[in-house]
Amino acid sequence: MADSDKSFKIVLLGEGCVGKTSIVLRYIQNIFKDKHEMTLHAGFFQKTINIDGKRVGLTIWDTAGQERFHALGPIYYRGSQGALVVYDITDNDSYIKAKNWIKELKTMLGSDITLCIIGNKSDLEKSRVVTLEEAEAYAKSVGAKHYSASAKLNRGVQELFLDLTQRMLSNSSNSQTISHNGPTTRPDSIPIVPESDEPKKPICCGGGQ
Amino acid sequence: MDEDLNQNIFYKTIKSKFPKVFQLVESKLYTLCIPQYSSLYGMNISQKVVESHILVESKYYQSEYDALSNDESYIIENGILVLKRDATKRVKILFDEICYNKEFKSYRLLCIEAPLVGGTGIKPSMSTDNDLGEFQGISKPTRPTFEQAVFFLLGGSSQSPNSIVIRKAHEQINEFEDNNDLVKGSENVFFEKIKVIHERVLDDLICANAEYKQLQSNEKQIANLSIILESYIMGKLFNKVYEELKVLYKKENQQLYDIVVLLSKHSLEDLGIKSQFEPHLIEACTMMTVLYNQDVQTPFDKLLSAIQSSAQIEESIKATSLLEAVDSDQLQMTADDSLPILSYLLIQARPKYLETDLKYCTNFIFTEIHNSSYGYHLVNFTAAINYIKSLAKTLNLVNSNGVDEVAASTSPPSSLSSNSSLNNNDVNSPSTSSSSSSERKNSYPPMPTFSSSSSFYINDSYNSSSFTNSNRKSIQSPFTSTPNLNYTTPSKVNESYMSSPLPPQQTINNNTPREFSKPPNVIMLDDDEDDNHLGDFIGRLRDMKDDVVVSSQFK
Repeated sequence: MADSDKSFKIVLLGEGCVGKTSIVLRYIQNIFKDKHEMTLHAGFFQKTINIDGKRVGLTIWDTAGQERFHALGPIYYRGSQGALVVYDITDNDSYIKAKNWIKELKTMLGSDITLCIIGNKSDLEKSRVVTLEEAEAYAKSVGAKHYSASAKLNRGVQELFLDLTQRMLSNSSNSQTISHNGPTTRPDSIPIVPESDEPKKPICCGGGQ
Repeated sequence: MDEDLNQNIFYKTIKSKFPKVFQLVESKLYTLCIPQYSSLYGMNISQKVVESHILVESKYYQSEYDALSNDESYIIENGILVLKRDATKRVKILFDEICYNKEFKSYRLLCIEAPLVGGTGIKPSMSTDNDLGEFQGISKPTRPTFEQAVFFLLGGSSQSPNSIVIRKAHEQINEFEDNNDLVKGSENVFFEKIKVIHERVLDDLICANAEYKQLQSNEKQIANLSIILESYIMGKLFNKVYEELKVLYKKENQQLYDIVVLLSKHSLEDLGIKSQFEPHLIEACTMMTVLYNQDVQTPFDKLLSAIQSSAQIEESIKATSLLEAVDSDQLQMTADDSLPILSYLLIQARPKYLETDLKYCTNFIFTEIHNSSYGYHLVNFTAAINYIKSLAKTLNLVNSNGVDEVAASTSPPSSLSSNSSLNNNDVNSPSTSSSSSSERKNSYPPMPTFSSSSSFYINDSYNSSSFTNSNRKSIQSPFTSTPNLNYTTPSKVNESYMSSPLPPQQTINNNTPREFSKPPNVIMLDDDEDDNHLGDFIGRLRDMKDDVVVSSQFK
C-alpha cells in the first residue's frame, strides 16, 4: 500500500437480529436480499475505498449480538477506530442495548473511537417505537452521529460508511493507524494489509450497482 | 497478485494522459476496469482502449454493462465479466474498490485479470526495475504448515541463498532451545526472543534473495514471507514451546477438558446454536477432530484448523442449498452463530490441551495479523474458549474448586441433544479425572471395554441405574475365576477403544490363574442404541467371550 494509505478497524455491535450483518453486506457487496448470500468467513469483511485521494482499507468485524455474548465484546472492539452500533427502530430493547454499548465503548476506548449509531429497518417506519428525535439527541450527547438506514432498501447505508470513514480519517490526522493499538501490542511487527483482493478468490459481487 | 491500483500503469495513464475521460468516469459514476499490472506488457494504451474499459450500466438490464466505446456489452456473472455476444470470452474480476468523487458519490474500480481489448497476452520475459520478472511473488499460504514452509524455503538447491540463510537460522534456533526455558506468565519474554530470531532471519532472507528484495516495498508480500518463515521457526520449536506450555498449563488444561466433556452432554440450544445448523455440523465436527489433533502444528496451523472446520459448515449449507435448489430461505451463518458453533466444534473435538492451544496461538504468532481475517479468527478462537468457560459457570458445571467432579462422574449419557446423533465421540478423558477414577477403582470391579459410543459406555457402566445389584449377583457366582482383566479407567477404556476393540492396557486371556473376589464383568444390552452399534457390539463380544458375561436380558 502507498504511504498515504490508511487502514481502519470497524466493529459492528448491537443486539441480535437488528440487521448488523445485513448492513455490512449491503455496503460491501450490495447484494442484500431478504436472505442474503453466504460469505466465506462469516463475521469478517474487507473493503478498500478511495476517498479524498487516499486509499483506505476498512476491515469490519461483526460480533455476536445476543446478551449471552455481551461479556466477550471487549475482545472484539479492542483496537477499533470505528464502531457501528445498530438498533432496530421497531424494538426499544435493542435501542437500550445500543446505548449500553455506546456507554461501554466510551468508557473503555474514550475518544479514540469514532461512533455511529444506526437505527436500522427504517422501511418499517409504521412500526417505529424509537423516535428519531430521541435517538439523534442521544447520539449528539455522546459525540456520535445517528443514521437512519434500511439495509433492505439500501437506504442510508452508503452514507453512513462514508461519513464514518471521513470522521475516522479526520481523527487519524496524526497518522495513527490500526497497527498502533491492536489486540496485541507488538510495535515493530510487520503489518499485514487487507487480503480481500486475493486474485484467486475475488470478492467482488456479480451484480451491478 | 493483489496490487495497489494507484501504481497501476493503466490507471496512471488514464489519469495523466486522458484526464477528460477520467473526469467523465468520476462525474457519471461509470465503472472503470483496470487490467492487472502483469497483463499490461506490450499494451498500447490508446483512448479507444481506455474507453473499451469503461463500463456504463445498462438502463434496461441488471448486471449488464455497455462499454463507453459503444462496441461491446458485458454481463457480470459471479465475479466474471462475460462478453455478451460471445459467452466464451470471459475475464475474471480480481477485486473491486469503491471510489468517491468530489461530491462524494461512489463509482467502482474493477481490477480484472486481463485487458478486455488491446492486450498482447505476452508475459514479460525480462525483469525491469518495476516488474517482478518471472517471479510471481509470494502467495499467501493457504495453510502455513511446517512442511509447506520447508518446501517453500528449502525447495531449491542446497546452495541457494535461502538454504544458506536457513542453515544460519538453525544455529540461532538451537542456541535458543539450549539456553531458554518457558516460564509461566512470562511467555512474552520468550516470545520476544523468538521474534528477534524471526526478524533477523527475515531480514537475512530479504537481503540474500534477489526475488524477495524486489518485493521489499510490498508489505503484503513480505507479510506472506513472514508467515511462511514463522511457520518454519515454530515448526522447529514446536517441541520446545508447545510441550513446555503443556506442562505449564497442565492444571488449566485439565479443568478446561473436564468442562468440555461436561458441556458435550448439553444440547445445541444450551450452547446457543440454532437447531437448523445441526445437519451441517457432522462433517465439521469430524474435520475439527482430525485437524485439531494433528501432531506438529504451528500456531497458524492450529488456528486454521478451527477456521477450516467452521468454513465447512458454510460449505455444507451452500451445498444443501444448491442440491435442494433452495434460495429464498437459505440458512445463513452470521457472527451470532459462528461463535457458539466454533465453541461447539471445539467441545466435540475435545482437545486435551485447550488452554495451551490458546496461549500458543495468542502468544506465538509474530506476523501482524489483527487487521486481517487471521486476526478476526484468533479473536473468535479466544472468544469461543472464553464462552466455553462462561458456559460452565452459567450451567453450574463448576464450583469454586473448578469443575464439579460429582457432576462429572454422575452425569447422564453423553448426547449433545436429545435427538442428536452427532456425539459419537467417547469420553476419552485423558488425564482423566484421575481423582474420580481412583474413587471408582476402590468401589467397583474392573470393567472391560466394549462401548462404541460414550452413551453406550455410560449405559453399561457401573454408574448406570440399569446395572443393579441384583444383576450383579445373579451372574456373579459362576465366574469367581474370571480371567484377568487389568483395570482400565473408564476414560482410558473409551480412549483406547477409539482405534481398537481391545484397549492396549488390557491383557486378555493371559492363562495365568488368579484369584478373583470381585464380581464378573457384565454388560447390559438393553439400551436403545441403533442396530449397527448393537451388531458391532455383539461381534466384539464374541471375540471376547472368554472374558465377559452377557447379561441374561440379552435375547
